[in-house]
Amino acid sequence: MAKNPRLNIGDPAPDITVTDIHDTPAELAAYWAGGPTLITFLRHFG
Amino acid sequence: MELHKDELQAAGLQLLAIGLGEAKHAERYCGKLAPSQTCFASPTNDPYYDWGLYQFTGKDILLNGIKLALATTKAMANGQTQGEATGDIAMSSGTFIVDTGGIVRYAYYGKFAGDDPPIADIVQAARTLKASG
Repeated sequence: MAKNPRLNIGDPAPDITVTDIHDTPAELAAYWAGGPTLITFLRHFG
Repeated sequence: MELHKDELQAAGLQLLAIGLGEAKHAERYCGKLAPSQTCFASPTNDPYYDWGLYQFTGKDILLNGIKLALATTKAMANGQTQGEATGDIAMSSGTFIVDTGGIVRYAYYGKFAGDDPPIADIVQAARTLKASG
């Protein structure tokens, strides 16, 4: 059961804060501002 | 996505991967398995929920058991193996294209483990976005 509704085409993308490989907080909006971006949410690393 | 990086990048896409875990897990993943992608880690499920992702239920697993088995077999045939998992293996996956204005241009929600979108669909969405200027 989803906690939030699914995103549809045309919706604003949520700007979340994640951690880069140097353990520094990063906001996704800074990346997609630089060009169209394919974002893959993995179930896990492994 | 790493297997299709050339056509995805040729379509004008930057490649970002987000996984549940710590920075060291993201570094390992990008370093060994996905060097063309920019990797990020999330220690909690909250960012996933923000994007409409969810945890699989027993019903999901029952409904998609055969598809899961097929996806697993296909991944193994492609040489993909499962290492030590981090995070939450019950979390669903998702694939999105976001334009420079922060608008979602493509969205695919995985219905079971290994349920990835067709690459042709992603490339088509990227080309459409590119053509629209």
